[in-house]
Amino acid sequence: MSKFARRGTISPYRDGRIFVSARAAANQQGGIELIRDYDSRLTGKEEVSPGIWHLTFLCQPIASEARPGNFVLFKTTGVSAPLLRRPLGVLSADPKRGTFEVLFRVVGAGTDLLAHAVVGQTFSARGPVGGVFKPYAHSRVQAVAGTLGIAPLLFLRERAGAFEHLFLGVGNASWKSFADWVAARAPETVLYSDNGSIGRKGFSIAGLEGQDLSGVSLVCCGPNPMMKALYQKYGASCDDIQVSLEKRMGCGYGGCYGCVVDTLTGRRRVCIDGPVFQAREVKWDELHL
Amino acid sequence: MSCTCNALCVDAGGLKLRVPVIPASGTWSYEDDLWKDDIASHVGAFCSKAITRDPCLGNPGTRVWETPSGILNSIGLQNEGFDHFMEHRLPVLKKRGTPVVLNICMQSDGELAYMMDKIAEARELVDCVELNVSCPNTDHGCMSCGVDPVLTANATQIARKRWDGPLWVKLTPQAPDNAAVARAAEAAGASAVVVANTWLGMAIDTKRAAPVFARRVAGLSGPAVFPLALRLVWDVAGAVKIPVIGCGGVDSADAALAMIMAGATAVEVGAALFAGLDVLKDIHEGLAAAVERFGVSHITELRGKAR
Repeated sequence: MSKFARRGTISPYRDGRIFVSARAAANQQGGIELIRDYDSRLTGKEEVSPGIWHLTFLCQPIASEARPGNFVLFKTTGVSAPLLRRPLGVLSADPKRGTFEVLFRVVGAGTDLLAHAVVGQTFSARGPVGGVFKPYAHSRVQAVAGTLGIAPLLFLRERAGAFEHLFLGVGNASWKSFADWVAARAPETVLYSDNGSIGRKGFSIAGLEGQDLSGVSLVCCGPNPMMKALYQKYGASCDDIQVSLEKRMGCGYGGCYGCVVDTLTGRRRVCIDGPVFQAREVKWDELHL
Repeated sequence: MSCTCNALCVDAGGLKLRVPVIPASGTWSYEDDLWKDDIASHVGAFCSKAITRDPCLGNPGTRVWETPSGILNSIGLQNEGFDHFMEHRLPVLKKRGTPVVLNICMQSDGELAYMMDKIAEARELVDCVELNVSCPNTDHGCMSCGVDPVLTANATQIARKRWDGPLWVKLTPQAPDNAAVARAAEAAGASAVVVANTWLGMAIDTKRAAPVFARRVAGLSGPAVFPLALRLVWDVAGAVKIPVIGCGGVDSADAALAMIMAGATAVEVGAALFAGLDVLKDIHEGLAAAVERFGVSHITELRGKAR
């Protein structure tokens, strides 16, 4: 189990002391850990709710280098199908124990293979990949998550301290055990569901309704339409909205340009240039949702 | 031509490869991470992403789609343009010590002439040119050239007239007669042919009841196409005297060896890298082991051995 930052802790994240990309940090320290495929041994497995899995892997390089926002690409099988790796955001990392954790929902053949893994099994994990959440511009921080988008935000919370609120959106009451699992890790969670059968009725971005966001940093991860809606509604009143985007990926190391999004500075790769972007940099109308 | 420097060293149309393995165009990154010795020591060269005369945004919408043992891509040649590459990328890449193959893609004779003139001027920086007459992912693209022997010969001549260094021509499997296109490239001055680029395919998103890709079609690669590529390598190797670089679905030392036994001088590896970066090391070591297993002194002795 990871250590949780206490609510109200003054976070080094807020003055940027711990912000350096994983590789830059490693380079500065002289020990260079690169984007490579590392053997990762499954050491813990928990079904958070039906079809949603929390896995813990032993892999020192990734555990040491992962930063909030990074993800890992798993090869889910030793044969050629599924061919591509499955990108999963890092939920937690413990450099001392050499472990990192992921949280995912079974959505296809690759994630199904991961869900059926047995403790002790080894997977090839590529990472840590991707850019990181940047230092917050403001001292007040609100987080907005859509279902499994919670994973990178919980990692950010682990390293940077609790949020003022963490607005979590789910579909309906069938997500109760998942919501409870999140709330146990982040007591500041405020739950929303589409039909109101659990928590408050509405989308998680409704949690920001009526708030003065001028001195607030927002961090957000969830389905792309949710993040687009968040930016359209609050982009004018909040000047620091960091979003973690999702896109189909090929290589995961910046080579294939399969995962690009349109931004104010051109078509950029979600895997290497992202996945975390300032929301105002993203051309939301061009985003293939 | 065999070489005495090591058992795997080959001459691929004027480019000497210490190891007959190259990450294929569009599958490698310029990120410094990926050029370290633990990877670079297992390849003979790196191939650039396709370079066009002008900066190119590439295609909108979904660009990659997984298929059974394969991947469809519709990237559409996104790159910063030729001048940017020559000024900002190539000098950095060259410092890393591994040969760089420039994959050059053109929409007109004039564009090709412009780029080849500049390449000739930068002679000391350029190890090899891979003429891309085969990208399937643009509307005005080069594949229309690669399906036709006459047009391929024309493009090859334009390049050869300006550049006397290693000149590979990357063919398209969409050509009705690959042997004929390869012979045309050879006659026009190509020093090797790369067989081949991706196979044209498509995917439909049944949830949206619409094609996945904005251009509808996309290029298929990965282990799924390996038998198709192997057959093309066999055909082309029987039709030309210049070296053939096998490309298409190579994901293991055994697949690389099969390409070589069909007549290939070297192999390019693409989609398999997405699945695992160790594939380069595996192929390198596997080929070295094959040389020993067959009791030969050099990999060239296994070239065409299955023929």
